[in-house]
Amino acid sequence: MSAGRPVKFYTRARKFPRLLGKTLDGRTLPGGPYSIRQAVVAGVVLFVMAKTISWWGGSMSGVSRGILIVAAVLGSTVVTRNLPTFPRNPLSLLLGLLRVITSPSRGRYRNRAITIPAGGRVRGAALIDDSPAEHHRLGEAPPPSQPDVEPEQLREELPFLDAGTATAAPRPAGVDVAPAPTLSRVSSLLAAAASNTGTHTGERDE
Amino acid sequence: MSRRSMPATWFTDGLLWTREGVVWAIWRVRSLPYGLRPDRDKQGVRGVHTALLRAFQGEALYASTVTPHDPAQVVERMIAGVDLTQNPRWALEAEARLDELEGLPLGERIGWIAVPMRNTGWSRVQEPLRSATYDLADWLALRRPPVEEAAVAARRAQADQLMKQIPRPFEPRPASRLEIAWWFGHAMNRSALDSAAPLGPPDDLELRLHAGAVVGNPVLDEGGRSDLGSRLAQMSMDPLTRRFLKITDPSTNASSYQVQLVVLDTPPNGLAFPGGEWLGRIDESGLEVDWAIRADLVRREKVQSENARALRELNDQYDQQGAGGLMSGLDKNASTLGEYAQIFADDELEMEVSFTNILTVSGPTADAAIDAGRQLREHLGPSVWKMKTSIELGAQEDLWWATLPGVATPSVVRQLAQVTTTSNLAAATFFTSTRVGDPTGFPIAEQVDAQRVSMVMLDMLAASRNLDTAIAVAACGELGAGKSYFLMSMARALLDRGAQIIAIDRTPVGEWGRALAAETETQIVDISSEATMSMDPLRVLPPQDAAEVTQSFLQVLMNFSSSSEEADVFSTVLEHDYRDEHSLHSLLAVQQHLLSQPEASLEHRLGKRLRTQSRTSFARALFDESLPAIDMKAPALVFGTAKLKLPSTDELNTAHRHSQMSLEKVFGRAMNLLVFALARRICFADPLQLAVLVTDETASLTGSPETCEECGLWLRDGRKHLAGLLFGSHDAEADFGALVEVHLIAVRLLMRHRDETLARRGLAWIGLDPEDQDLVDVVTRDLSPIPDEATAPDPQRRGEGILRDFRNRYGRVKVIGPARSETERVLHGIHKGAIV
Repeated sequence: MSAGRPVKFYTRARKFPRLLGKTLDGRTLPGGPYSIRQAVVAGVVLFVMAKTISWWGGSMSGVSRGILIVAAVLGSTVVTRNLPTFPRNPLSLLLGLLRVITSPSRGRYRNRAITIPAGGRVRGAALIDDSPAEHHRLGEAPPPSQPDVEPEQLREELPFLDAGTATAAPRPAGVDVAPAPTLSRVSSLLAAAASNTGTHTGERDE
Repeated sequence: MSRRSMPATWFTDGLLWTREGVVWAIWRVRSLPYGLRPDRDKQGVRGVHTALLRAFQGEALYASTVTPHDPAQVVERMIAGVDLTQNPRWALEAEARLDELEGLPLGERIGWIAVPMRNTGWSRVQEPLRSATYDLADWLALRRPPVEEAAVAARRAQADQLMKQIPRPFEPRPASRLEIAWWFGHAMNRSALDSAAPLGPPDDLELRLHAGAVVGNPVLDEGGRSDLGSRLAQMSMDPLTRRFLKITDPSTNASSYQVQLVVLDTPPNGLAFPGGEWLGRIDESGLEVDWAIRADLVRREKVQSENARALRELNDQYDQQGAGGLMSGLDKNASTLGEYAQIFADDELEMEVSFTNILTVSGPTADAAIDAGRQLREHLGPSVWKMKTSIELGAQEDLWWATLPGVATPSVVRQLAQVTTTSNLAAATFFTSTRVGDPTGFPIAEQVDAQRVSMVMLDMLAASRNLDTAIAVAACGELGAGKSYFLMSMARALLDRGAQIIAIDRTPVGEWGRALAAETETQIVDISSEATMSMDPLRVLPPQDAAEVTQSFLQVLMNFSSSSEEADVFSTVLEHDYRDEHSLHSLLAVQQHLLSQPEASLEHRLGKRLRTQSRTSFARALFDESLPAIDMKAPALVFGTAKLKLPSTDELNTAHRHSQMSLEKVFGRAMNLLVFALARRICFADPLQLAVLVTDETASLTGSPETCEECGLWLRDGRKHLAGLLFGSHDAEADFGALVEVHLIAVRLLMRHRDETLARRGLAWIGLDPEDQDLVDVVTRDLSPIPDEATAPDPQRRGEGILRDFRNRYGRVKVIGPARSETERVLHGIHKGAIV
């Protein structure tokens, strides 16, 4: 039992920078030692510079191109030398940063970015038998332009939608028009107006 | 970098199936008592934690959550086992308590262990197949088929085997399905609409929760981009200043902002133990912190080969870096490695644990969460612990998932892992608490734990039944520290729950009478010339007890030995048949009967002596036949003994002083004994009725050999007769020193003692180290402290003390009074002016 010893973490016993200071035949590398990270970055810089030479070095002489490439490669090793390695490797850090920068503007749900489709007017119409017997049910019928059940469900599931710019959700084909009784021209006009007002209200909220 | 959604596909009690085809076992564990313990005990607790960390091969998740309590849950615990129709006052008290608790941040810290279980045999095929089926079912919007009975049974057996490896002091039990659902819900709702955890396993339901249905997927937004509004603001967001995770629970639409902090290193010279319990003492941060440890146990052989490899690589690095001048860094690595290898060489049982310790703080807004994160970093870092921590950028979401069961360790969590020995990680003593009290009973104090208030309950009956201790509670503190208030509020609660209370009141103004009389039929015997009730044992007690009690009373009063002729006379006269024959039903009748004997006889002389005693002004409560006798069955009985003069210990023990004792003191001593004897007969009378004797001045019970003996008898046998004792004392050593049975008083409360000697005596009495200067300082300066410029303590800090409970746990508490305004006003009125 190491009761008397101070309580410590021993991560340092395992994690230390692995650097390359010598070649296989024992010669010291100039400017070394280098970390694997430095080598990788230098390699990438060299590759990119070489591949884009026509773009940046058009009017330069061969010597100055060479100097520039060497300078860029050396510069990259200097820059990357003092980047922290522990606890996370720089790639992970970079990915983390990218992840935050590119994160969707409304958060992520079930591992997918939340997108809210833009609202749009629903087109199409269906005719319903308007025999007088149905009239008395007008009062309790839902507003004619009420979207179908799908967006309602979505809204229930994602109530925060209401807080944002949300308005109408896409309507699956085939159920385009609300099953409300279409009674007269006047009432359907009123209904259309009501649906427009709803949309505007949503926008005003924003 | 992985992105995730809810890992759980299906769960039942103690088991959780995941999308990855792995089944996790989940347990709730009890925190070990740790507060104020001596170092030896703390080493023991660390040892048990070490054993816990070595229990599971491979990965394990240890976590602790701060759990809000519902006031209704607290009140349910308060009324459990009490017949409210018989005790309507307790129903009112419970109702008032419910109102009072509303709005208080109630809660406690609870511990969890979750372990992914290995798939063996057929399950290696079955589980991945099942999770694929679930994915397919979800995709087709079909119902997920439940896990079949046989598979559940097999997994349960596997989990039970694993549970046996958890050290027993943690009292592990499988977490109920509701608790598991709560855990996920809590993680999504910290500082938002967090709900109270279920009290325990649900009783009947055959309910099999489909994780998807019960535990929704959270909406995750690292950096809180969705709060920024315009696209421009989102584009120009500085990720470095927004290192938090916004979690929205779709079922409530409430957003919680959380910051995950990772511990990266101990201070350069390590932490001392005891003292270095960074998780055990996390509540000292003043923040509501949840923590999780993702641990991976590494076998000894592997540790040694890894160490050897590290040594080789380190040597190579010396060679490689020789030219670069970075050697000093390597030296540090080398010395750490050397030290580490030495530990394994010294201790053949030691194992390595690679772990990531994640601490979570939250807030209702992004700024609040960021601020909490900063404060926690400050607490663990520069201001207190000097540990290295970080709030990792771009990893907040992965770290959040890593605090939950069912989630495979994310790669970033592995990168952040630290390496140490099991016993070093155990020094964090993570599953500990300073909570005291019983699960049910009456609330006597509150405790602040994990920034949440919890009610300290005492259940005297259950405790004495289960734990073989006396039904006794003692409080010790200086004048004005609050012990009378504590005893009174406890007596009041017991009375309202249907217990009978006998109080010995030594206050000149009759405080106990007032405290108990409110709304209760209370009989008060004032032992003085103003007595209104009689406590004549011949009138009060049943005949068989009456003779015995009267005989011992007269023996002390008239100072004769039990083998003397006087004793024989009284023995004859007090005998039941004799008294019946001569109609001797009171002490006065006995006195007159003796005086009627021939003048020269011993009987007559004894009669005369008795007459002398009966003429003293205090004797009215015994010899005045016109006063009504007390009823032994009265709910509350108070004996006012303030005017009685009691002999000092010196007078009792020194022969020549004993013989010169004043008549008043002789009478006082005998009366005191009589009161105690009566109380014992009353409390012991009915073995089904809880009856409790309470006295603020323990000295009056333990001061003389006779009462001290009675007291011991009471502590030994009271349990069988449901007879309890409540004591108050100014000086533990003086008052309890002579009482051999003091160890049977399990529950003790130590309150403020500004005098250092008394503080040390109090600490020794309560079972803590009297030489520990820190503890002495707590008692003298930090319990209801009185500021230099003030004459009374801060009202917010009245009634503080160190409580030892029936289970021998210690914790700091703050005494509370009754919740009902009617009773509270009375108690408060009594103590107004006094420092409560």
